[in-house]
Amino acid sequence: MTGPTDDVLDPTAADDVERRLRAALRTRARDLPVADEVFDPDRPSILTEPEPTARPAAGGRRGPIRGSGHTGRSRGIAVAAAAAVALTALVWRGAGGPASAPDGSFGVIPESTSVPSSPAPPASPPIGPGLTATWLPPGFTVVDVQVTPSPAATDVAAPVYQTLVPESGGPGRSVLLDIQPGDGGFGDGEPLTVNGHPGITRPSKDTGDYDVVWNEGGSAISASVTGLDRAAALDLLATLHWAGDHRRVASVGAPGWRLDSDPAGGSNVAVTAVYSDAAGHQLTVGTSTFEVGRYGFTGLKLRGAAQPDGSVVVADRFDPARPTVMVAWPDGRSATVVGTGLDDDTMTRIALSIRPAGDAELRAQRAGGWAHMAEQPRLSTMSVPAGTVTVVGQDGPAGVCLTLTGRDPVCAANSFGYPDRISAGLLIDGRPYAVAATVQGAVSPNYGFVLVSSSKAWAASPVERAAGGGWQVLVTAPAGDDYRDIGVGSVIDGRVTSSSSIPWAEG
Amino acid sequence: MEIVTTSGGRRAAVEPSPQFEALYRAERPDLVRLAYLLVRSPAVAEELVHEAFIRLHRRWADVENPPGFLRTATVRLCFTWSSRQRMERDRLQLVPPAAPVPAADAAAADADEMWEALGRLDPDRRNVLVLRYYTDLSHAEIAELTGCAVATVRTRVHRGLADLRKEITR
Repeated sequence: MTGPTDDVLDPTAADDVERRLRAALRTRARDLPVADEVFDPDRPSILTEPEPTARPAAGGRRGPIRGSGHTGRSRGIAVAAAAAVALTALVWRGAGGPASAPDGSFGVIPESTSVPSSPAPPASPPIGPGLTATWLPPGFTVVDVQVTPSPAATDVAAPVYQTLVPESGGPGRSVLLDIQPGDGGFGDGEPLTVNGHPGITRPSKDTGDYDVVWNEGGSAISASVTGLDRAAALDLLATLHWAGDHRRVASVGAPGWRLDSDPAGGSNVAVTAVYSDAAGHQLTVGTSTFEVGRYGFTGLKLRGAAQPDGSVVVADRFDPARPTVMVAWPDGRSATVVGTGLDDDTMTRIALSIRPAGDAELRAQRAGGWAHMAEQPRLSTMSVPAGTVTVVGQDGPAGVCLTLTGRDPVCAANSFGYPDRISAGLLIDGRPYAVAATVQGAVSPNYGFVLVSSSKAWAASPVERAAGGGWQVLVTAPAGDDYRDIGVGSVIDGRVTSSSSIPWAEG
Repeated sequence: MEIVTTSGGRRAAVEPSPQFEALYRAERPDLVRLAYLLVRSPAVAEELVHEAFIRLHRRWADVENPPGFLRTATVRLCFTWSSRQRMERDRLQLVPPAAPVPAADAAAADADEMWEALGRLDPDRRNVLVLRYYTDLSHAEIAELTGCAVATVRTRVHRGLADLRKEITR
């Protein structure tokens, strides 16, 4: 591979920053200690989902969703969690390694006698407004809905994307604006004037028929135009009213056009909905109101197929056994659909059908899902001091329910699809409970409950354990808001290789 | 490849050949260092390089240029990792910051400022800067390695350097 002549690095032409950068990278790499290791093909990496060494008595359910059992989103979360545990494991190794629990499973969660019943509970997060699919293939019904709010995202220096679309929603006409801080070069193109500023037009590198590129107010702006001739596009762009810092269009003055998105950021509400049909096929739809962010959207644009409205569709084959389609919009909304046996068009249609859903609608969906779950056969019912844990399903766990004494059950579906384990976070009256269950005795000594965080809060977390029906269960009610850190995973040769993180359901 | 533990009875992966083991010893350190520069975490770098070797091991009989395969796989795994981390970070901040690698000498201390500044860049721009200035790849080679257009790589390098200049003059 040889690049063009002007593309080959010439150290004599490099400026001070480039020289310092090169030196810094080489110094940094030189100073990184790399231990000498022998390759072990049996040791999974953090991207590999280890399989258990045995199956449930019924022969093991591979589950309607095969493979790792993760959604595109949840796989990413699990990868993040795996990284956390891998890093934590490095610390543990330095400290002599984790201890095994008395029952033989790997456990690092300190034991306690009971879950306290009356600490001051944290505020219960709102459920919604989130986004939910409004179209599903025939036969699918909701099993579970989990809602996770998270703080606002901030990407101060990131590019801004905004979309102009016709008020009437007319097909095929749009302008996607990419606004970057600082003046930028134009590259090759036909010169023109945009709103009084010099610029160029060129074949589109993005979503449109062509691009119009110019600098204005200290920003480099690229307009990807679809369905408009050049004169009409320039007339439209001349009507933009800029916000004070010129990093954002405040409004558009052209009649019949509106600003479709406001990517300023904001809090994110993630909704993970699990559906199944009578044949046991499972479909997971994850949505976020603002998860992708501007950086993420940039990456997706490069990987996926851009749509006229500025959205991008990415068919993910990171795990060939778990086809995934993700649709993201410039304003940060996203939908991730995972379902075996569904083609990309069907999954895309599901993703494109997402609409806002408020508290009542999401609660109703979840209640319906729990009712459906309650009809499932029981694999195991185990009593702990706090109440009762029930694992439901047929060949494998379809869900887990925690019933506090005197209360209604609160459930969560097996959205990860593991055949022999399930973990769930359940918010009951604003108090977080974590429930994790594995097949008893059917997994290796290195496989069981693991701590997924270096947070010190777990040191005080009380734990209850029980066993029954071939299953073992752990329940804990961590203090404060540090309640995302329990998981079920494996440790091989002192290294945590996998874990499942916990989405939370509010009861 | 089946994943087994010492107590498991399932089919294990084929043992690596002496040639593979020699390649592992020869290539792994440099790949880990490159991955570290891309993902900025020694532990994650080791894991991603291990994954690249696992993938090579599966295809060992079919790969004509194992070092090239490893470099491409490692870089793409790092890019995928960076992309996923970015998408997930707002929702679930589980990954603790990597422990800093202490500076070994004056050059290393001087490099720290640049390293920290580099860490504040957009990851896409940062990654192409690493490939450009650590591995000395051309724009075309980076484009081929990462699956981006050459123009995209050139723009990212240009803007990444501009960002870097701003960061170190703050």
